[in-house]
Amino acid sequence: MKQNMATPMELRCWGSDWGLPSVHTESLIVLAYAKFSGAKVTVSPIDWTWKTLTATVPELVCGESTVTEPTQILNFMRKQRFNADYELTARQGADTMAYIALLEEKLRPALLHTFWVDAENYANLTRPWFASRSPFPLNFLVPRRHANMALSRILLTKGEAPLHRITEVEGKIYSDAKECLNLLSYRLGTANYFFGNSPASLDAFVFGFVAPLHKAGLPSSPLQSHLRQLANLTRFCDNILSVYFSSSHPGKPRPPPPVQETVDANLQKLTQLVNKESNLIEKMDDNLRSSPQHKPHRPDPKSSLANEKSSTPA
Amino acid sequence: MSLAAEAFVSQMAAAEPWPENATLYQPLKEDQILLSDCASSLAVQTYLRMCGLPVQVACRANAEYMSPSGKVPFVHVGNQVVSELGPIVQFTKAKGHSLSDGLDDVQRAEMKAYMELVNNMLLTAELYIQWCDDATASEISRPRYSSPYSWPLNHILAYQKQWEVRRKMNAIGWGGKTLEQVCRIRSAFATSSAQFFFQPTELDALVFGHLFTILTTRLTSTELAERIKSYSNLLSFCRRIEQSYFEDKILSVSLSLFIPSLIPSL
Amino acid sequence: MGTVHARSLDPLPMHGPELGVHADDIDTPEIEQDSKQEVLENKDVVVQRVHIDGLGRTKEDLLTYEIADVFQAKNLIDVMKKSHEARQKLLRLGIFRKVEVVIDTSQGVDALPNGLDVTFEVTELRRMTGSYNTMVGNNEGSMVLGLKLPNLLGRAEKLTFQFSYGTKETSYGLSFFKPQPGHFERNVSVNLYKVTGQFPWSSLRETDRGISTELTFPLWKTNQTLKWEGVWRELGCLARTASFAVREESGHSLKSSLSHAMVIDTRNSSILPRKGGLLKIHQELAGYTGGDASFLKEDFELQLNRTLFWDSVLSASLWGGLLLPIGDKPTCIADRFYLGGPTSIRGFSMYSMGPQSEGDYLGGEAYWAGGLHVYTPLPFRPGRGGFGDLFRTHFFLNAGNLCNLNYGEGPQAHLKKLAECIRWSYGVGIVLRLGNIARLELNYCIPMGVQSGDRICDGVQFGAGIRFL
Repeated sequence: MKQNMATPMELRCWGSDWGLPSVHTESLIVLAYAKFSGAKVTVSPIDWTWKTLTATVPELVCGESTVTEPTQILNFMRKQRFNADYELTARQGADTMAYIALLEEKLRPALLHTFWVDAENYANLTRPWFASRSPFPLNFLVPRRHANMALSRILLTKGEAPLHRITEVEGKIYSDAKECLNLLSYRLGTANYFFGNSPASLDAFVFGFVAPLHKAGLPSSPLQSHLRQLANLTRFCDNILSVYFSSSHPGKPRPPPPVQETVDANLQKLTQLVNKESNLIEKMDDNLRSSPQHKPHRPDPKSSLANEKSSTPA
Repeated sequence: MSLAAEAFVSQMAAAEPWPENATLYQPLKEDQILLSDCASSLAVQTYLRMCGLPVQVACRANAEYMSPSGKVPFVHVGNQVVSELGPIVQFTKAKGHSLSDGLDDVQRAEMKAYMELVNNMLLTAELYIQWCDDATASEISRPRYSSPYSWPLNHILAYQKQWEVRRKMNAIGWGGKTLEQVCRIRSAFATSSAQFFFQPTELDALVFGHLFTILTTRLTSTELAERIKSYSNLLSFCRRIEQSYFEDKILSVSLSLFIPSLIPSL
Repeated sequence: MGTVHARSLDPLPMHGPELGVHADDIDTPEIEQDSKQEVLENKDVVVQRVHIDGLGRTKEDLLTYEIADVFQAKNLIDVMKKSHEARQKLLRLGIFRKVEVVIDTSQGVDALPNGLDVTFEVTELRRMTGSYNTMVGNNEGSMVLGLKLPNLLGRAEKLTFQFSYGTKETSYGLSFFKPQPGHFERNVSVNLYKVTGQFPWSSLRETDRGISTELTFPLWKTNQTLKWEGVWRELGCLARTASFAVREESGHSLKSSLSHAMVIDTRNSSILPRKGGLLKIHQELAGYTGGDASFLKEDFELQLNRTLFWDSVLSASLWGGLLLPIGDKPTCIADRFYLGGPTSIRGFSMYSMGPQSEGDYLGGEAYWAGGLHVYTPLPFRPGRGGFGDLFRTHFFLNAGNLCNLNYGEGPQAHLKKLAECIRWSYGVGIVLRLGNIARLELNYCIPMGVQSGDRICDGVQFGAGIRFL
């Protein structure tokens, strides 16, 4: 076992920029988890190599074995005794799986669209970045290939008949993504991490998905502006960056001191109101409910986000 | 549809009460319906029963093509047509019937996350087993799917559907999985699921739909059903829902009759 | 003796000098002129040889039928007439670009003194030709790209590929045509096609992929066609707001049908005829050769024209049809009849008559429609002799009805239903003839007998198409 821990692990991923250790979501997930669990991983960016075209990113090489895909890599690390989840209860483990499914289903299509399909963002940010990190002549091929894969992924999973074109799907995926961000914000509340005071794999996933959206300089993104309004999510990303990825903490991370943020109640209420954008229907419901033919179903307006959710009995 | 249009439609929807002749459409029960469609349909029926909304079930060979989103089941309420559990839940909410109103935001967030998990795990796994496993696809899924059509249309449609599903599986990264991995995922989910909230919600309807369908289909190998049965809390959950909402309907008998064997030996 | 080139389609002249004798021959002395006159004036001749020069891939046995008649000519006038007819026959095969007839006296050893050699100098069409057209169909326009391979195997077979991109539909098709050697009117054709159409009056979108084989042959005075067709039909809603009745029709179905059509056409032209009549009877039986759809469909078209005084033409037409489902499955919306629009009952919107559900027209299983027109030249005859001749004014009266067959009531009840609540309209308009293919109309219509649910187009209505009531 000790021998396994000593075997160096090398992670191939996309390089860093925009204040993040990597601009690629999956790579970020693995990097964050590595930091959380204390695994020593050598980062070798594939920028400017031919691996930009050939390799599946991220890729973890440990001795003889190679593992791809974030879920597999995380499992592998767990087997190597780098486990950030050992403190979680069974229920929290199930929650993790659920939220990861939510991220994949609701947030990923919109992120793919923002970075790879939206013409302005693609031309001004994504393509130049990826083209500049690929050797000639791959700089013409690599961005195009990623964009095509992104588009086909969105259309295949979301563009079921009769929505065959990307314009018809756009509205739906963005409203789903905004709702997903809202749900994450509710779940996070005022805590630093999703489960208690130390980060786990769910934090790594959320960080990987949300941080590029937060930090990238996108010329036009309604999704980014929506994210900026969810202060706890942006704070979550910044917190992880400062604690685990700043140059002053190169080695094993210390658990951060418990942060008790003073919450501005008015700002929270404002955030709440703005978050209701994606629940427009419910707002109209309220108006209609006041008509006599409907029994009132709705309870009182929501309690503030200050309470952490306590689990209900099964 | 844009957000404003959706809001308008739901405003129209909210204006009328739930009619008596609301109908749910699904593929033909005896010969055509597949495991995944049956589970989705049962989930919607359970949800509507939980809300106390009456609905008749009609079987059509072209239900999948009638549906506005291409997925079954769908409900025809008044002059509105809504398909899939998510939009149906929204639609009934607009009419003033909702099961998840008692939940606070965090609980609702969890519920939505778990619904995605069920879709991601169970539904995708069912689709994978039905269409990406060659044995199942050729022995069961293709013949059943194309049974209402005559030659050569039946082969064309069955292969077309199989190709579409495989493409989608590849796109989301399930293409390389084997049957065993998929079953393992399903049982992993089964271990972690339980009834979550003290009041039944749409999540329970969804889980019940899938679990009940798996339990009551006559399988060539009962491994998966046995594994689910070994979790007594799941069994009692299914029994509870069945007794509360389906006592007037001969649900278990009809279900076990119509799907002879959908899953080959694992 | 000089050579005679018969090239033009002008009526054959009866006098010698007007035969278009070659310029060189005019220099011959007077005496020879007399001898030529003798030959030309109905002297008996024998056609000894008929050649065809310039053949490439065309097989000779195909052409022997067309030119066989020339051998039977007895005098020179006859020879010229028969060679002209043979030339027409060769041209209608569609494999030659140019055919020239050369009649000469026989040369050679066994030449008779009154023997003649007739030579057809032909230029074959190229192996492959492309074309680009714009087409006007029934109220829609489209761009058509075509690829034609004439005379594919040497016996006037033709392979055509067409791609049509239109305002409402996109389609492509591959077609193979083979006439019977010697009897061009008997032919076989095989078609493969994919056609997509949009029908906003029913909120329906239809995609047909099919294969059909057709056998055409003349019988006495009629033209008969037998056809087998297999079509994979895919129906879908055009919009989310489509009515539920249309939504119920969505999906796939397979139609395999045998049909027969008989046409008698004695008109002098198919667009704006001045005399003659047309009778077309068509029946289709589906379901006995496989497929999902099962029905018997009958429809007929009758048109009679007569010239009245002062260059005006009276035209009467009658259409009717019946669709009987066989078995207990109801009829499909794609098989039913539709009525209304600038090409049938003017004054009503396109196909917007009869049974409907929430604004979507479902078509009917039985219909009849009749029209009475008087065509006159434009008032004051502007542009006479030229462009103005393409226009006509017409006064019209259209009537018709469409209904479904709900069994149990018997045929008497259906006839009664078709006879009551008749929709009709009258008006005046201008017709423009486009070549020999299509016609444009601009009418002022007054619809009457409008039933609830019909959509009308009161006032000015524009129509373009090939087949008008």
